[in-house]
Amino acid sequence: MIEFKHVSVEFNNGKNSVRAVNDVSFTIPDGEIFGIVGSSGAGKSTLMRTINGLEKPDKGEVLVDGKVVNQLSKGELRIVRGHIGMIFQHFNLITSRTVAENIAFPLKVAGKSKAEINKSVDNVLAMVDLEDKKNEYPEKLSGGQKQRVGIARALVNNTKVLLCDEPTSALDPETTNSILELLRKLSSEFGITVVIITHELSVVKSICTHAAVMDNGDLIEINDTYKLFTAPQQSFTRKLIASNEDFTLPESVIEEVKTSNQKAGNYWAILKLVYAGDSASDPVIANAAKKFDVGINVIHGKIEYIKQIPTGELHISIFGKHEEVKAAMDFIGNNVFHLEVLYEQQI
Amino acid sequence: MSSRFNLWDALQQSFGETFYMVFLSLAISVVIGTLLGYLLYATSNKYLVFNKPINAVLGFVVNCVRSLPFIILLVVLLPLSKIVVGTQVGPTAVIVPLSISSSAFFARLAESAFNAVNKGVVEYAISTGATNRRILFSIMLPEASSQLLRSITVATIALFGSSAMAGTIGGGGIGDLAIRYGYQRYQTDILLICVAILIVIVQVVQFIGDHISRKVDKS
Repeated sequence: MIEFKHVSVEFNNGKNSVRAVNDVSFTIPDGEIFGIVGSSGAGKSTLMRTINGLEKPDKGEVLVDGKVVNQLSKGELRIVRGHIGMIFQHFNLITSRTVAENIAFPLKVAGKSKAEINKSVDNVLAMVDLEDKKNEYPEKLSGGQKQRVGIARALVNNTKVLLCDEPTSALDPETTNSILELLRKLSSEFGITVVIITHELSVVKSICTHAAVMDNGDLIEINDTYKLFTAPQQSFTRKLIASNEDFTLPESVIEEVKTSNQKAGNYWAILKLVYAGDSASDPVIANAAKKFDVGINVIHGKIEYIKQIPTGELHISIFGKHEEVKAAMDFIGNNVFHLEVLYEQQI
Repeated sequence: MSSRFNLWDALQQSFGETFYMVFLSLAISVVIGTLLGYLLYATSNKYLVFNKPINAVLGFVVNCVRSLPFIILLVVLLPLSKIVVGTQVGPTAVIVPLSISSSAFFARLAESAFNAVNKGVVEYAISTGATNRRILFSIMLPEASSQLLRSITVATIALFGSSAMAGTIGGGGIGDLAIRYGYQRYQTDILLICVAILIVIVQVVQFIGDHISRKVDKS
């Protein structure tokens, strides 16, 4: 278990100090795949580096399995680091060493015998599917293969926690998926706690069980990934999600809904409905149209998968008499997972 | 001509002395310079032994040695030679100032070779819980090896240059020969032979250095 208790990190660059992390507290339970998202400079990378002591908090405590990491002696910290693996955006492989030697490095640090090292290296090479690259130098590998070596050497020493610093940001989409799949597999097979920092929301949607949103050193929101994306509580999170989606409702559509309804003397609204899981989508709208004297028009719809659970999203315009529309909106709100009013006629 | 026979003898002796001065000083200064260079690097790296005062003092000492033209350093350090190797003349005496000057030079070369190592790899090494000693021997030296070998080539050639200056205070070697015969006795043929041989030596050293450093480079 990883616990942050009122953690603050400040950077001094001579004259002024910058708060990279500002009084952050939360807990990451064992076996989770935990995402920390935010734009660059949000402090997520600094926060993650307090877990293995690469950054020291100025205030607060960081606990890994009950040990306060930022109060350990140098020797104790080295031992804790031995069981916390780390992978990087640009892989950071040792270029002068072969794949096998790269993977053997943490074991040598841990003082393992030659026989143990050979056995573990072969084991972990099989896990990441790179047996045939054992004696290659990193230069000869593709990006995906380099990251597999990174993962292999991060896990080889009986690792409990895996820290991932933008693990797929330098990879193409296909390779990204295979790396994420590998992380998911390893986490579930060995019960490893995985912490991923990334600016790619798709990574979080695809494998994280829980996620935290950071901005400017502050923890904005933390929740189950599914809820975080389908029902974000904070406006920053909503903005972040919206800016990552390739869909925004065109102005012209909104304008048309507005003018046509004004002409007809209708009250109107544009709503975003989110359906969770495999709850059927149509009946809610059909029922609303039947129950209330309103017209409903579907403007946009899509289905995506978060944590491999489908989630549907529908943009509709709804119009009619004021009180009918309001009642229908309440009805819809009670029957879908999440309702967001995007635009509503001002009275 | 009997002078021809003498010339051959003199050349052999001079080259023996030059190689003796250059390679012994090189060996000493590569070891000391690499350590100094690593200290300069490690004391300025926040993950290693970050220590601004030590870094500043080391940098100051290295700069002091490097600020003096070699011929002046030579004169200044001759009394030290007397203490360390027991004599103030001959190739052995000159090895003391040569090594000190070359160590300071190599320290800066090594420092920049270490600085060129990917910082991410150092961060990774720290994250495994490796000790400073292991990071030096298992990460920094292998990762910087290609650049360090190029630096050794540069330092070797520079040592041929400074060892020639040592001739002026009785250090012997090829520089001594060229000045005594070629300059002071107007024997231009000897001067030209020395020049030709020095050019060949430097070309060969550069060629071998480039070849090895390319072979070592895996990135």
